Amino acid sequence: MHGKDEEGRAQREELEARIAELEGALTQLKARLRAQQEAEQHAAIDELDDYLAQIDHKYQNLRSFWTVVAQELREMFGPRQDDEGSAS
Amino acid sequence: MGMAITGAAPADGQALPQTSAGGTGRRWVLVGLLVYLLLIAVSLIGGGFKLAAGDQAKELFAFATDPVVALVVGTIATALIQSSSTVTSIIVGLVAGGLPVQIAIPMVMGANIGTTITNTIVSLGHVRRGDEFRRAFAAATIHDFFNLLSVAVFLPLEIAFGVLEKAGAYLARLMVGGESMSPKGLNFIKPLVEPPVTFVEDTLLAPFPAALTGVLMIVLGIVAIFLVINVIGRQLRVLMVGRAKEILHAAVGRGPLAGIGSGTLMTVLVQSSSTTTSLIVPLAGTGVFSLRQVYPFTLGANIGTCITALLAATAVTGANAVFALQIALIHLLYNVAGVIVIYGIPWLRRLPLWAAERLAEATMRRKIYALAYLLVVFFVLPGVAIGASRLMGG
Repeated sequence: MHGKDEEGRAQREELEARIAELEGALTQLKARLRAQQEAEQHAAIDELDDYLAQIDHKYQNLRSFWTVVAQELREMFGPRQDDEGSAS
Repeated sequence: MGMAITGAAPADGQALPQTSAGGTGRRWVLVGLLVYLLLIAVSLIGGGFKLAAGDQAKELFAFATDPVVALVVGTIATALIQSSSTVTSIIVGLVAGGLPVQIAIPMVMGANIGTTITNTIVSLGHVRRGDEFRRAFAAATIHDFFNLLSVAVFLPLEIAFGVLEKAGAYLARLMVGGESMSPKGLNFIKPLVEPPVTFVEDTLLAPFPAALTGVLMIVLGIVAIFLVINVIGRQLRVLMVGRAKEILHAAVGRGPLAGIGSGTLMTVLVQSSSTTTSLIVPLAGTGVFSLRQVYPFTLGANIGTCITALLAATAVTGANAVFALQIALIHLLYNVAGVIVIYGIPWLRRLPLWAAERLAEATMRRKIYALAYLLVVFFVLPGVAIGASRLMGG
């Protein structure tokens, strides 16, 4: 009876130790991930000059957007390729 | 600030201008002169409006006594001019000339909606870049949805109880001196601003009848504000890019309050919420910043942009100075309250996030949704709102 208790406690302690180890590793990994994300964010902020220059290109943005939308509209409402094929 | 600011070359080969120590000094002098011109322009509008409308200021804006109409006027004017600072400064000038504060409040709320079109247009530049476009578009429209929600919450409250009007009046009275109506400690503005305004009114426009002089002063003031804010924005972008980077670097990893604070500070420095909110579009587009991370930053921009109207209000002297200050303070109170209420209540906070994400996903499937969204929110919906309001009003 006493031996079984001892064995049970040892197993529990082993599990607790493994959980603590995994939690420690997880915390470390999370910290590394966060540090990496923050490093990437700092790097992106350093590109701010480029982004500031982009603000002045609003009308170019609208033009290129309209090209894409017009293409989409042609695909939606224009004659289909197979229709064109059968017509010719 | 004497350090050289080096502009990296963007993809299309255009970079921000480089500034040497001497160039920086000249830019600051120019900014100072432009701020002075802004104050003169606001005074011109106020004086011109008084001259043109006389005691009929309220009747002249009778069409906008319907708050929905006033809201739409503010929205469309800002969407067309693409600068809420310009529109709110003009509103301050009009209030100085006799436009009732009650009518000006929905206009200021509309300016908040109208200004969101700028960063949405900036996000359209990413249209050919797949997921980058989805993230950039969501980062832009979260500002739209927040400001629309803010109007949906506060405009009915304002119509029913006039909370902002009362709070703004209380604060304005606290800040305005007893003997003169100029804000306390800012009485030095009057002698600086009055001579050029008098010169325009009494010398430059002397040959014209009073009413036409008033109209010309308003036009001159509006054009000057538009140009001044535009040029100030460009100058400050060059001057403040280094500081803006420092502010953003400091906010990394510090949570939403730091985001709101840095968004506010950066907008105060560049005097343009559009610049701040447009900057976060590419930052979010890269995927390095999540939508949740850039969200507080856009809210800070709403608060920071109020500085221009407050500055404009300092130019107003005379009996209406207190009302000019009142509308500028209402603009600030409205934006601060919006952040506290909407961002403070978790389920309300999630609504703009949810809407921006869903719209961006739909836009990925068909780009036409983005075009439909822009037309509906900024032009069709305002028209429908006016029609519905007119119908209900009889």
